[in-house]
Amino acid sequence: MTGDIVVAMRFLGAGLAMVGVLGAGIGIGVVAGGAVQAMGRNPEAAPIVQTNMILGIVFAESTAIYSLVVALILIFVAGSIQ
Amino acid sequence: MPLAGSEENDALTEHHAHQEKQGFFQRYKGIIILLAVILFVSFFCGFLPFGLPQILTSVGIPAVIRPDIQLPGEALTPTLFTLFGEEVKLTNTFVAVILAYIVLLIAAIVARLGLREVPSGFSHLFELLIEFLYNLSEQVVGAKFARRIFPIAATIFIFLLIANWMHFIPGYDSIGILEHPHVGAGYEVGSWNGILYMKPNPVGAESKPVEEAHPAQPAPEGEASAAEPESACGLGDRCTVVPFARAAATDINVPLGLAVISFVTIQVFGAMSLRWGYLGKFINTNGLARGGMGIMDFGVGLFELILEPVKIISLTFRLLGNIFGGGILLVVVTSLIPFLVPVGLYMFELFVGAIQAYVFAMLTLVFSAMAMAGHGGDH
Repeated sequence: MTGDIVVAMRFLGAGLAMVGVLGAGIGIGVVAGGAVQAMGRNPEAAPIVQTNMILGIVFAESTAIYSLVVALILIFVAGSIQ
Repeated sequence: MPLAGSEENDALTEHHAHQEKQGFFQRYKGIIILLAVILFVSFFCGFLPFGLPQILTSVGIPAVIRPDIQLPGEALTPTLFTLFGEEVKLTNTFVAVILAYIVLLIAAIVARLGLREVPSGFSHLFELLIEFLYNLSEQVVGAKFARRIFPIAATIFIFLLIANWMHFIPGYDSIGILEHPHVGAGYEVGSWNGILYMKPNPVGAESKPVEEAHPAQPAPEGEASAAEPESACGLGDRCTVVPFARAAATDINVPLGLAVISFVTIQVFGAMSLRWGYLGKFINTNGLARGGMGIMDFGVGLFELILEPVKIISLTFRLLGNIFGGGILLVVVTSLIPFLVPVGLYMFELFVGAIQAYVFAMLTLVFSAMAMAGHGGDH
């Protein structure tokens, strides 16, 4: 019985870990919104704005990736550790 | 002067005439589109994932299974040798890395051979790529160090691009060795003209955990039971597939190795540019001597010292999470809806693979540029 609860809790934990990507979604939206506004004001600067936008998106996404990795570890790796 | 109201009448009669001239489709366009959407959704989300595999397996054509997904690289051979107390086996991610190297070398040789007065098409493609990367490194790092850092960043980009895009060659993640399942129940193996394939479980069938199929043997002699080779899994057994090759970046070692290379690059370029001043950025004794706000600068410098190794972790997990997560997404969605939908996902994963390669190289350049700048730039 305890084994089943542990497995259930692992998957529950993985699901809860993915709640962290909420912040990344909002952050990426803010970055892209700012970039699009800047490109609208000054279309000549579009390449430089785009480069920095990609950079900003990557930084904002990295915390989402951390939570994804925690979820993946819970699902795939934690079960085989005794 | 026309009578009041006659304009509206004219417009109304025109509208009726227009409506009558329209065909059946034009008049009921909204309803037809709604019906089409309902049919489309019920076909793709109802019939295809649940109905079609049943029909196909009853006819004899295999549908798509969901394979076992493992995070570490899976071993293809038994232990080859022992190094520093660790058993070394050939893993499928290592095979993928070697394949990426081979493709890269062949591409480089073909591009080099094509360099003439007017370069061949393939060499021209490489010229574009190199020019793009060199302009990028010049723009980020500055002309003085661009020439030196360009090979590292360009190699990281091209290697990752090739390794990520090779993930979509048919056979990656799908063709491999049959083994007894360690987790779960595995799938039944069938044969089609001599080619072994996995049959999906019928919808609703319970798959028993492997404990009941192969009862766990007590291990009094630890070495004897570990050294016994597993019996091969074949036709008629319940097996799982260990692919011959997986996407190179799904094993944590590949992004980790590249991240360590990036880290060393960043530190070396910072030290080359600032010499002893680079250490002074972190252990900010000038700030201590100044006193007052300088004490806080010292603290900030120490904090930045801790932040440096975090770059290794973040670079590793960004690449690993994107590529491994993308691989899981492809495999699971293909097992659910095998037709048409995975095409869009493959396009998306192509894009993600290219962007992650670009981002890794770009972050190496940007962090090096930040390391080469002075204290935060405003002193």
